[in-house]
Amino acid sequence: MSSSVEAITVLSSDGDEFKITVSAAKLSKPLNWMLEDVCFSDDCDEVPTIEVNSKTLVKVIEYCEKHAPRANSGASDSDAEELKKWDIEFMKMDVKDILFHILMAANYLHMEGLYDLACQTAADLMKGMTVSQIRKIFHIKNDFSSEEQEQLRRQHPGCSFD
Amino acid sequence: MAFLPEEIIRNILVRLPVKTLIRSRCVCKHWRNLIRSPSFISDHLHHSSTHRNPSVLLQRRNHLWLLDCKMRPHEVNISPLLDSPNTFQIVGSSNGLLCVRIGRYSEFYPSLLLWNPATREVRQLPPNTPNAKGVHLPLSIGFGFSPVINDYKVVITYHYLKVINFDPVYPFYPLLVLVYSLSSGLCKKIEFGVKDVVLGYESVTVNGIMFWSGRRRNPDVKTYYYAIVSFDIANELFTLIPTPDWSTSTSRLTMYENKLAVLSFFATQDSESLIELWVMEDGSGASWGKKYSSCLIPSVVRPVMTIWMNQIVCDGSKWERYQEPKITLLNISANELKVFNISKCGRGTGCGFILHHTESLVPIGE
Repeated sequence: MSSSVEAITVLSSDGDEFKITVSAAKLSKPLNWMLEDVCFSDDCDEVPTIEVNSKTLVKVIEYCEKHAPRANSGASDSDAEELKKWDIEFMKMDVKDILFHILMAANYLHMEGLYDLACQTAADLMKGMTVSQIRKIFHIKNDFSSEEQEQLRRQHPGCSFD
Repeated sequence: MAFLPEEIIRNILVRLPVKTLIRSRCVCKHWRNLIRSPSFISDHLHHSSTHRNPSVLLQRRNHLWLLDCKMRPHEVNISPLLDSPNTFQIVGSSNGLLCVRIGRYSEFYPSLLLWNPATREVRQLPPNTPNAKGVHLPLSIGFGFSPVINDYKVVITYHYLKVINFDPVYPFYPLLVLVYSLSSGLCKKIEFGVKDVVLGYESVTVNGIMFWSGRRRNPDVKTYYYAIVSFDIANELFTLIPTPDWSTSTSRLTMYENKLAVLSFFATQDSESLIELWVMEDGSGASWGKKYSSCLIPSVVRPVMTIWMNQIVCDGSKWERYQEPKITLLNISANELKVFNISKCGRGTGCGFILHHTESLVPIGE
């Protein structure tokens, strides 16, 4: 790879082009491998596709660009504190619509920081939810028979199923 | 809509508190089986103990409180534990399970329970009434987990004195020891095997080894030395551990950086005192290192059981009537004292009994 390259272009699964800086791309192991691959050498014009939809990829790249300076150079405590606040704001998003896609993307792109953050966000959201709300966001069908459900109600008297 | 693969679901669930997980068991059969599986329970415990801020459990009279990292008390529901008004004492905590003795402290054969306060499961240990003659001293109880055999054990040691002409005769008679295993549900008698030692009432378990403080008789003169005895939960053997000489101090066993540690408390003149932290560097007690020595602190500050988030947890209460109970935290790195009033956790002198506690799904079984 030529050292003059500062940003690379990737395609989303929807076919849109996105630019991501080299330092930000390094947060993802597969992207990092791609960087070392011939794909990004100056004489190659093939644009690699990332199997993530455009809406999600925008967010993933936003996260990478924000976290890249700290990941590459290390940061002071105040920077870490600032980044934590930014993460909280960044994660304020619709669960079904985007958070789960981010989770899948972070898992697929081996981005540990984003993956942990998204898992924790999903867990925090679940804490206040009833059983049926959890089923709804995870798209899970209630497969308990009515007898089993009655038994669960008895075992979990304080628990809301509706 | 993204259907999340199991790996991701697991990674979300592992971050949930026990209360939410119990609710999540009702989502579908797959989740119920996943959350019940031993591998998930163990992953969840591991995640909680490495990622969550550790909490401590505080017992004051018949109330239990979980103190979070900001010292905010959350009362623990003890209803599964006590049906009728009775008194209880938490004697040990391991992976979210508590060992509880029911009844007064002077009772020789109290009933013992294992209890998971988060899942509300309780199991009563089989009644223990060893048939032995002599005068009893209050019994000492230890509770811990061994990763080697993946089992929890309760160790009950009965002290007997030989009595001649109405006088107790030293040395203490060999101890009678009963061991209860959670996985087998059985209680059996084992040999103590360490001579001239009587065990104290507190024990701490580090990496599958239970440690007891105790006193050891000098064979030549009728004097007693501080002693530590280890009990390997896996092979059920007691061993005497060599220690530095702390004979002039009060000592407490605890854990520091995953090693056995001793908090030594020295009273100096002018109502001031000094706390030292000693750590057993190897498994055998051959090498001890002094990790910390406090500045002079008011003598009212006395170490209680534990070290929590790099702070020695101390009682800071004046043991007088109408004084408010206080916990004092002595920060090891900063050598700083912080005092917290805990009158929210009920009246009465002294700060109470404190031990480490992590909420878990660990089952107690039938």
